[in-house]
Amino acid sequence: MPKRIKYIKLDSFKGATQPFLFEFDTEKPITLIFGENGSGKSTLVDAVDFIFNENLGSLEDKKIGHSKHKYLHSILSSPDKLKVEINVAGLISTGKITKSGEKVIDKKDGVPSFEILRRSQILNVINAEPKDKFNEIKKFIDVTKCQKNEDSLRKARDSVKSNYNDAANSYTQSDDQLKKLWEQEGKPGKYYLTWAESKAKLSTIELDKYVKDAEKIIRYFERLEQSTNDVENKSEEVIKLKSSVEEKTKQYEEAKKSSVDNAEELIKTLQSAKSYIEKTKSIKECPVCKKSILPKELISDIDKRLADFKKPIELKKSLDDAEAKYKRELAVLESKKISVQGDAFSLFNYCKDASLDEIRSMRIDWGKNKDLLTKSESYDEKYFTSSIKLYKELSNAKKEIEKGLDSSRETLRQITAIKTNLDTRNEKKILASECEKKLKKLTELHYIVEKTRKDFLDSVLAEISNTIDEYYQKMHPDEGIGKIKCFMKSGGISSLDILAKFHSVDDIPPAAYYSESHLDTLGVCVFIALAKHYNIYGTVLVFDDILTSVDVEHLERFMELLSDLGDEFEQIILTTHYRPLRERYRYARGAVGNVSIKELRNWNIDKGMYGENTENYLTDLKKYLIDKGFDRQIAASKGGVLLESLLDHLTFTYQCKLPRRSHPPYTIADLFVGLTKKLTSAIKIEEVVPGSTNKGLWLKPILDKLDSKSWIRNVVGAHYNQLGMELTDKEIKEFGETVVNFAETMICEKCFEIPGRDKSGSYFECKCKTKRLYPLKEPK
Amino acid sequence: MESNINLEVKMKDKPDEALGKLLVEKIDKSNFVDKRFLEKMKKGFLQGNISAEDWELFIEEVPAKEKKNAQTN
Repeated sequence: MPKRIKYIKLDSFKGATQPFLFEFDTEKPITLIFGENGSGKSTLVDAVDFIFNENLGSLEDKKIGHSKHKYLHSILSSPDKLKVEINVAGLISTGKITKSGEKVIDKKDGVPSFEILRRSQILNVINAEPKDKFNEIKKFIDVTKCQKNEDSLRKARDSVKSNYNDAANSYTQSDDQLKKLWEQEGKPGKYYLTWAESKAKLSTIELDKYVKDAEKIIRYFERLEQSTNDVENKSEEVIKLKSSVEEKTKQYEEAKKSSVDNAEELIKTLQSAKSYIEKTKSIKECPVCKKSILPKELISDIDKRLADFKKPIELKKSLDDAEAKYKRELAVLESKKISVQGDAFSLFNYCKDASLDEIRSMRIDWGKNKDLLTKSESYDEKYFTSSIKLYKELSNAKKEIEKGLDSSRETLRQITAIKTNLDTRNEKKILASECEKKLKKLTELHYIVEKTRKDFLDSVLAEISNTIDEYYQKMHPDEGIGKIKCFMKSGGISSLDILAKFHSVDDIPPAAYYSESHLDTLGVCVFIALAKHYNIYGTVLVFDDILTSVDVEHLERFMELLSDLGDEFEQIILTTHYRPLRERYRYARGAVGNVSIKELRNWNIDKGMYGENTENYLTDLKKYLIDKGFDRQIAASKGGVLLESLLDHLTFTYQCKLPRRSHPPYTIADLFVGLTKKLTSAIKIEEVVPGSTNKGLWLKPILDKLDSKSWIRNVVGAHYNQLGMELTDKEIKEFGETVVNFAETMICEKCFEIPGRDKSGSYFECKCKTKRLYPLKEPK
Repeated sequence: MESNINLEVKMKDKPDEALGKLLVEKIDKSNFVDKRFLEKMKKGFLQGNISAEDWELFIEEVPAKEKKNAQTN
């Protein structure tokens, strides 16, 4: 038993401002929900999307900010009041939204998948950029996991490639470096590598020892050189200080000669006298000798004498300072000389035992200088002088040692460079070889994975393309369009394109040449083909008001296509605001046997949504004919409309001649005129009964009867009329019942279609081939 | 369109699973990946989590001794 939606219960969900129950006829695989704009069709579809796909339905495409969930509940209601309940074959799934906007969905296991097509998606599938086209149908051809693995494989390949390049570059650099070193040496031997390998084998122990000894001895030399320089500088300073002391002594001796005895005491006395005179302003005589004095002149005289007495004192102080400094620096000089002695001692002792040829070749007689090999802790003039003498002698070897050191260092650097480059060359050669092997495998593996993925998607898309084309040809036979090709754009993993035929030209982008209605139907076919392709665990197809610009002819073909698909999916739900579609189902004008019609009507904010069943015209008429409160006008009117519809079908099928008018439609009388006597006498309905003889019925008696009663429709069902008033209920019922009889004879009970298909070549038949209409052509 | 894709496999599974199976089959035939890594690779294709390091491991050469032991077993 197919898993079909039994009912949808809504409360405070979008248009359902009041609790709303919408029931489906689960006996029929297709449900048509008709409703004018604003009646709540999208609310129903969004409820299905909300529960089974956990998204916000038609709100997803709207540019209303990120918090779209806040528009999911009915206006004037709140999110926490929102409730959706959907029963699919007894499995009840529910959904609500918390105040914070979180979706709480309880989707029952075992429900089929729900594929919903909206008009906006059709446009995206057909008109959008390749990347957006891909996104629209992504889930049908989604190989994200495989692509992730392919990406990581590509990453591994690129990483190994990069390692290989690095290793190869290092190898080349090292090799070049070895060649360069060989060339710098004048290309000794025949081959640079042989030379490098022999060089790398050389021991550097001797060289290292020489460099170590030489560096140490040079350090001793430098230290002694520094300390002797210090002594020289200090000696010059001490000599200058000594001269200064001698000069100051001379000056002092000279000053002393012009001085008096007890000069210091006299200076004190004069200073006291001066102070006394300055304090005692009115003084006029000397307090000692009582002679009269002039204070100003006396103070001036005292100042002069004080200056004369102070000079030797100051000179004496300067002399004392100079002598003290001289003594201090003399002591410093001596300590520096001791340093020289120490540094010389270190140098000599190291030189004595040094293995350096530069020292040995000097043949120093260390026995003769044995005193200098003992450390002197105090300054010793003789020791010092001998040390300097020997140091000067040894200094001749220093230059030679420095030369040898430079040369040895260079040799060591070369050997180290050769060893390093040789090691790198050999190591990178192995690494590059390993990487090369890996790279080869990974490249081939990536090729396999990429090609398989492309082939897979190409084959899936080719198969889908064939299905799309099959459906599209049903919709548009012999119209010069079709040959649909869906394919992944080269270079774009997530990029899809669609090409098609337009008359004699293949592979054109349909969006550029096809009319809007052709693009609409193409989008629908793409969607159905994809849904069919991946209809693995059962699928319910939902079309949300997708038909807007389809003419009657294409509408019939679409109905036909849907009818064919009815058994391939669990259920097909089609919403529409397009009234002609509803009416064609009601008048049995097309493949309608497996379709139930529902209707949404009269939405308003206070009462919310309202739904009801819509019967076909035959059922509708029968209901009115048995109604207790029989309404004559309704019965006559509805009977007439149904009769008109059936006659319209017959005259259209046989291409009958009708009065030419600038404004159809035709009246019942016109249509009867179109049915000639010859044709009326030839028309026969036959019902195929498996296992027995077909039942045939000539239509002439019914048609004649209807022709004679058809005026009842006008006089009772359409106008104020005396004749109509005189007719009994029985006569009107009889008219209605004859129409019912005619309709039941014409319409197949199984597929609810009037025979109109001429594929047999000798009669018309209905979709299920149970009813046949003879003849195929009007007899001449 | 020419293709050697096994349509039977494809129709039964979801696209990712179907392609994953095909890839494992093709890689196995290529002999680039040692048998001992096949299970890990299958699981990786199912979950979409084979890393670059995994790929490098998969293609590593099996030491001759190990290979001999595996054949004996």
